[in-house]
Amino acid sequence: MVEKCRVRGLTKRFGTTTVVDDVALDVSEGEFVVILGPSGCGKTTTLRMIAGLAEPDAGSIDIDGRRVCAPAERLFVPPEQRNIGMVFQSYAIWPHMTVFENVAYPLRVRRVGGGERKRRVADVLERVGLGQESDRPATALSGGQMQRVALARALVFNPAMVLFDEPLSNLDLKLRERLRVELKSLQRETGLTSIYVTHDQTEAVELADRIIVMKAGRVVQTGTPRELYRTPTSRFVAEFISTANIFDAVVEGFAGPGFVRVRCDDGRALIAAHTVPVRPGERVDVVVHPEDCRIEATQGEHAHQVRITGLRYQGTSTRITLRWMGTEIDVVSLGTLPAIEEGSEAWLHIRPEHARVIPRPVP
Amino acid sequence: MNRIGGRIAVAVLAAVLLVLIVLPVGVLIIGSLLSDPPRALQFNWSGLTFSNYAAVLSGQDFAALLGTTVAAALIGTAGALVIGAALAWLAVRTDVPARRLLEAVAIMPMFVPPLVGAFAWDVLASPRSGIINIVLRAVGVGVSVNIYSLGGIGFVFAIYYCPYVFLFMAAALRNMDAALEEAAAMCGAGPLRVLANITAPLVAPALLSSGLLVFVLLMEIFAIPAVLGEPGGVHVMSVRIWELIGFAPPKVNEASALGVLLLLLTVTLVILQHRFLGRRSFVTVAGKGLRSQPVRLGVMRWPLATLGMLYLACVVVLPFSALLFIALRKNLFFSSLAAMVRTSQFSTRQFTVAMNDPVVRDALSNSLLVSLATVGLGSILYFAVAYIVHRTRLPGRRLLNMIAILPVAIPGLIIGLGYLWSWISLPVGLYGTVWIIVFAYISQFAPQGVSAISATLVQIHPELEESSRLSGAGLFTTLRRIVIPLAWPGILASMILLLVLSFREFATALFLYTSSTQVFSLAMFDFWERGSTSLVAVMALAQSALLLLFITIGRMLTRRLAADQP
Ligand SMILES: Nc1ncnc2c1ncn2[C@@H]1O[C@H](COP(=O)(O)OP(=O)(O)OP(=O)(O)O)[C@@H](O)[C@H]1O
Ligand SMILES: [Mg+2]
Repeated sequence: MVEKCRVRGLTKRFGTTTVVDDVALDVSEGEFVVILGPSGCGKTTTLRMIAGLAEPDAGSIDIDGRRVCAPAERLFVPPEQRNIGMVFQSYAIWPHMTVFENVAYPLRVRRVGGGERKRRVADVLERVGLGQESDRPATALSGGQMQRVALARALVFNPAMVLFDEPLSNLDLKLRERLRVELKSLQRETGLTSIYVTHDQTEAVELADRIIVMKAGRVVQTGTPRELYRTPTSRFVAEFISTANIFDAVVEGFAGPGFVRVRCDDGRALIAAHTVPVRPGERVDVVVHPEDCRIEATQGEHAHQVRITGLRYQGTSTRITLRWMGTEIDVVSLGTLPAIEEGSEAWLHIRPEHARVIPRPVP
Repeated sequence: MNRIGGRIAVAVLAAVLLVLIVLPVGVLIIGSLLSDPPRALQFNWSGLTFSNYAAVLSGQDFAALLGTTVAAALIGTAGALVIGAALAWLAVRTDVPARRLLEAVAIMPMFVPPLVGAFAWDVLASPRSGIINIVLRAVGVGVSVNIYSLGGIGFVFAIYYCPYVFLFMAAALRNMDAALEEAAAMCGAGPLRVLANITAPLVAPALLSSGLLVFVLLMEIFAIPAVLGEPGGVHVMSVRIWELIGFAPPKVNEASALGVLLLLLTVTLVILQHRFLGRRSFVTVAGKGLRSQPVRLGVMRWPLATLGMLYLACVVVLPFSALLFIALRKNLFFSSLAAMVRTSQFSTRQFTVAMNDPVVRDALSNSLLVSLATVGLGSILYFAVAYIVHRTRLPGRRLLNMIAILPVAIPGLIIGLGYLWSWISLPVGLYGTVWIIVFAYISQFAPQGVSAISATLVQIHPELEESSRLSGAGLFTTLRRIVIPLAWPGILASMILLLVLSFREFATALFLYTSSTQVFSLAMFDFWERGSTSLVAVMALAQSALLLLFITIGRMLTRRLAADQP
């Protein structure tokens, strides 16, 4: 795998606050990497440093094997020489140019001749579905169309990679979903290397080959969407990536290789899987995804008696709220349900491999 | 406000604005078509004639007069655009050293009255005895500068009017979504290319609009060409109007005709400017407040900062040093550098003389009275207009707004002339009192006053007011308890602006004063015409110091208020 982008020790301070703190990341050719994190965690700043729009205080950035930024060596390649495309949150479509002129601009700057330029712009506009709009003034476009123009402009010069800063956040929900699908298939077809910044986990999970989760300027976990979902290494990631039930519990003892018995303060006890070493008596978090639980009318192994407090039908699935001892828990059930109704008693089945222990960070 | 009350309020305000603004201009226009001066608004209609226009237009030098007026304004506008735009770009978009200072410097001339600037540059660069020329001769350089020329006047225009361009451009650059420029960089364009392809076209509407504004102001201005133009034979329309009335035999009707022609020009230009302002849609506001990396000037950082300081020298340091120098000299006859700096020639006697001069004292108290009255009465009128225009749906509110902004296009001199025509012979006894000056000022500053107060009012969310009404408070209680307290910092800032404008105003009062109602600027101009240069220098320094004091107090008050408010 060819490495397209390599970032090490990237650090940025504004005054005395460190906004990006020792960030490392790698992006391979054709990979779609999403940087995910809550508002203000430094995603945009990281992206802008890769683009060359902001200067880091420390660290290094290599693009296509060329070092473009290293404050320690006083090296800084300006953005126009990095050969990176970027789609801005506000799209940054130039209002004094037509759609064609906007998209042709990178080629004009690179002195690509008239005929070739026309062909390539037409080609890329066709690909983003704007073949007909070429001569319209850019101000006459809708939000979704502007977004496509911005994408076309970032693609037209075959950049080493494309950076996206929350490009869909200004659009309504429906359009956002459609463009997400289009973007993903375009990226697959063209083998585009991309870094995409968002605070929306659905977007991240759907688009990403790999997600980098950031918190307060630091990378807290990197992995495929599945890895982050299955084996979050912190409560923060578990909460951010999914709508999981998270129990605050104490390890009581071992229950076979890879499993421990845990108990919550209100008395709930269950068997959970762990991947990192834990000691009895240690406080941990236990993650249980709503769709990993089963509701049965009958008792069985690893079953707990609960009372159903709410039922919500959501198309093909049902979201069930239930009370297990003192705690409300969310469960999603696909397909047929046993005959339960609000207020009835039932049994909650949680298989040990579906309850995962996350150690607390050592204070 | 109930419907009837609201309508009565609109009608009363409309009547006030009509009398203050429309009446004088109307009378002026009628007067320009008559053969005799009007008496007590009794027009001698049988004398209806175009002969005044014929006399003006066929006058042997009308073409030259118009040409000079336009040329001087064009030179000044071009200079103001270059200086203002360059300073704005440096201050907002680059890493030039001391950006904050540069920004403060760029708007400093707004606080220097044009009349004071003109006096100072007369002292500095008059061809024979200007200090700069004396120094140049002493150094033995074979060149000299002549401020009495078209170029010289254009230069003074440019340096004192570029703040308008600066403010427009700085706002445009600041409001522009930085991502528009960054996107070009990501497309591979270098900094100069970004400036040419993206930044310049995007701020072009603001540039054009501010250029037109400055051009109008320079077509109207009286103070600078009156001081610097006459000695060198550079004649412009505003000064000619004054001469037609001031020199015997007075040709009041002809002056009016020339005034109407000037008015036509300025009105056309203002309409053009509003067209461009209306289409300023290019300047897009960023979605997020992320500020971009400033443009790196590299080795040019310090040279460009020096240019900024050179500008400071031209508008503040040199002029005020020259005025101070003159104010401290015992006599003004020196022709060599050595004689110029001889210490035995300095004393502070002039300051004492000026302070004890009854004319100066009267002028100062008149000016303070006129300014305070203008601020007091004007603010109430402007607030009422702004409130009705922005906070009610009453019929006629647009008309009120239109009349109130009309004086943008009316030169102060012309307002003054209209007032002279309207009131000189009416038996109400307004002419000859300071009040006619106050009313003329209130008309002249209506656009600035109304728009400053409007800007404050529109920032107060209507729901704040509506909830007060729903709580059972009437209109006046709501105004007193909610609107005015919330708008107070803005209103106070508008009042300071009005105070500064009226204290430095000159041309509007030119035809309206008598020996007992002379205001400070007029007294200064009078002394200058009679050659009392030292006294003028002291007065100019005093006026500038007072303006600075007003502004500083205003800043402190508004800042304290802003800090108090959550
Ligand atoms: N120019 C600046 N000066 C000072 N602080 C800044 C500047 N730019 C960003 N910050 C701060 O740095 C932090 C990270 O900002 P950044 O824009 O990178 O966050 P983000 O993760 O992109 O957030 P969002 O999801 O809201 O876009 C924020 O706390 C922000 O206030
Ligand atoms: Mg961001």
